[in-house]
Amino acid sequence: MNKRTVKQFIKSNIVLAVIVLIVFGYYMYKKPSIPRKTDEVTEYVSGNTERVYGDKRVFDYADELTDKEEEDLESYIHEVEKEIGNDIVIVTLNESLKEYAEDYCKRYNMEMVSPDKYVMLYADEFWEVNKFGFDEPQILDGTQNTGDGVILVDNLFREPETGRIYTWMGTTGQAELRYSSDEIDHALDVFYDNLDEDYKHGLMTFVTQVRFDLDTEIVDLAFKPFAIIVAGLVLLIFVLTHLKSKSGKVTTTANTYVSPGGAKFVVHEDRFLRKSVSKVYDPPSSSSSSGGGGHHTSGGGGSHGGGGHSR
Amino acid sequence: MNFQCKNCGGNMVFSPKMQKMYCPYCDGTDCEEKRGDASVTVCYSCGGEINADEVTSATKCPYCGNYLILDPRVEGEYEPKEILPFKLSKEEAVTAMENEFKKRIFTPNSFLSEKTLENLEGMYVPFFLYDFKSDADYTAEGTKTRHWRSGNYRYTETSYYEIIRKLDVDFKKIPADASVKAPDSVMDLMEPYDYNANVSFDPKYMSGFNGEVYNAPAGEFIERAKQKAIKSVNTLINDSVSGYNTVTKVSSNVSLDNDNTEYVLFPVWVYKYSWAGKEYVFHVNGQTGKVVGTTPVSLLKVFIYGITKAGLTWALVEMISRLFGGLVS
Repeated sequence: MNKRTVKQFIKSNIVLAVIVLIVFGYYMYKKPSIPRKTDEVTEYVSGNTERVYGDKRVFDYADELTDKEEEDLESYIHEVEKEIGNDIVIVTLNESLKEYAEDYCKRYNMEMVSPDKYVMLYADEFWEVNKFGFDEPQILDGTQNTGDGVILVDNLFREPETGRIYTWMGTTGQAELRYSSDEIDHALDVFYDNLDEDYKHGLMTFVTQVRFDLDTEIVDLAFKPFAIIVAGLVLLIFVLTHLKSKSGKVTTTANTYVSPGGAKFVVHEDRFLRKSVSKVYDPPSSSSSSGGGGHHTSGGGGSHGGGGHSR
Repeated sequence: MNFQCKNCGGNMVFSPKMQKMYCPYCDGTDCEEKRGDASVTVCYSCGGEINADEVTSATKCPYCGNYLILDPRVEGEYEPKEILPFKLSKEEAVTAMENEFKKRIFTPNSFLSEKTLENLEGMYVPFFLYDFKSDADYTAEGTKTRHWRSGNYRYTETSYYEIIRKLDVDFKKIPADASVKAPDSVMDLMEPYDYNANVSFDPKYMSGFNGEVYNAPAGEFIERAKQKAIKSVNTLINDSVSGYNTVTKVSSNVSLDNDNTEYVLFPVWVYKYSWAGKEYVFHVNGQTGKVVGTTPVSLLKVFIYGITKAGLTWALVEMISRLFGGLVS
């Protein structure tokens, strides 16, 4: 390699290399604290010290569980939380939640919220007010960076408008990122399928499902195809843009060899011949729209995902 | 013939930088003495045999290194009317290529290296310049459309026009190279030359360079010049037709009358570069510095650059995605 080649090579890569070094420095300084599925898991401790109810995760306001059942469920949740790095909160209710909808409508100047969404509004507010979230409480900035966890709200009260029982599974932070609408539906199906047998069993199965869903995603730290794809694209674009090997473009024009004033139009005429008009029946089309997914923003401005079922 | 320095007897050459005859041995300028000789096979200076083919008009003696101009190839019917002397020196030609190719990071290391630049030589390429009087007839049908809506109906109005053009063009000095060796496509890309710098032919301008005499009579190359004229006429006519949604040509005819032809010599720097068993030839316009050529690609370089770029990008994206986990899922 001669001096010119080395110089060219350094010049071509220096900017990217410096950026990589800076990011590497920052990366080492602030390694992401995602738990690993290894033996160290038991040492992993939640960073959130601001939860209003401390270690409490089961809020059985409908009184569907015995004290013993509540205790069992809670200790199981604690065990799972350490493993998946997400809070799991269970709330049972037996009351109308219409007032939450009224507050929400007033704040956002909306006419109404359908009864199946009452549980959603309750879940969002319960999560935010009580400062849940595994690493830290949710910061209401509209991002999914904080407040990792899942909440299940099961309201046994039958709202008079529909006479149905509504359940909501809310996801926040990492859980929102990792849960698709289909997976939320599936987790709620699992809950409904098992709750007839025994209410506690339904809740335990739901927690197990969350454990399965979040655990399998969270351990994937080693290899991200996204980075490989981006690197491949950059490689392709870089090579293609530099592969140009031809040089020399046409630099003459139509007038290059015409003597000054040497081009004369003896005839330059555009003669109108005829005209025709056609018409087509084409009434204005009506517009259509389609609905979105589970993502929404809470009354407080926090980002939540989720989905609901009723029975 | 060759040109000898009156002061020291050295071989004088034409210097593009000074635009004068120059003696590289004693630095003398414009002190040349022409020594004529009718031979096209033997060097006038040393008597060595020169390898000139049948179209060579100027060359370098392989034995004594003196530049020779072969008298019979620049006299009589072979005497060019004009010559465009080299304006770009060898060093300037190298700079022109370096500037053109500096961003080609995949070119091999030896490309434009001092050693391979020994193969850069100045060459006077024979050209014929053709004058044409052309007259062209063109008719076409053009349409203009207008749309509007009324109630539940969409309306389209189409107006039809007959487009008639008669164009007379006076073309001056359309060039076509008269060398079989010089690739036509490359010579076309060398254009345009600024004819204002043309001077009456004098063989001294050829000293220091290679040269060729026209390889065949002017009639053999006129077709290329005609095609350039027809292309130009068509462009001028097409540019005069505007404002239509569609234009369909009905008839078009261009007739050309060649009323004058001149034989001239134009300067081109030629750099021959061999790599991986293949020869790559680069041409630099000896007047304007325009570069034409295709650079070779070193696969090793593509690999090294590619791996480095991809590796750095991968590391960057991987770290960012771990830092801000929301990017990937």
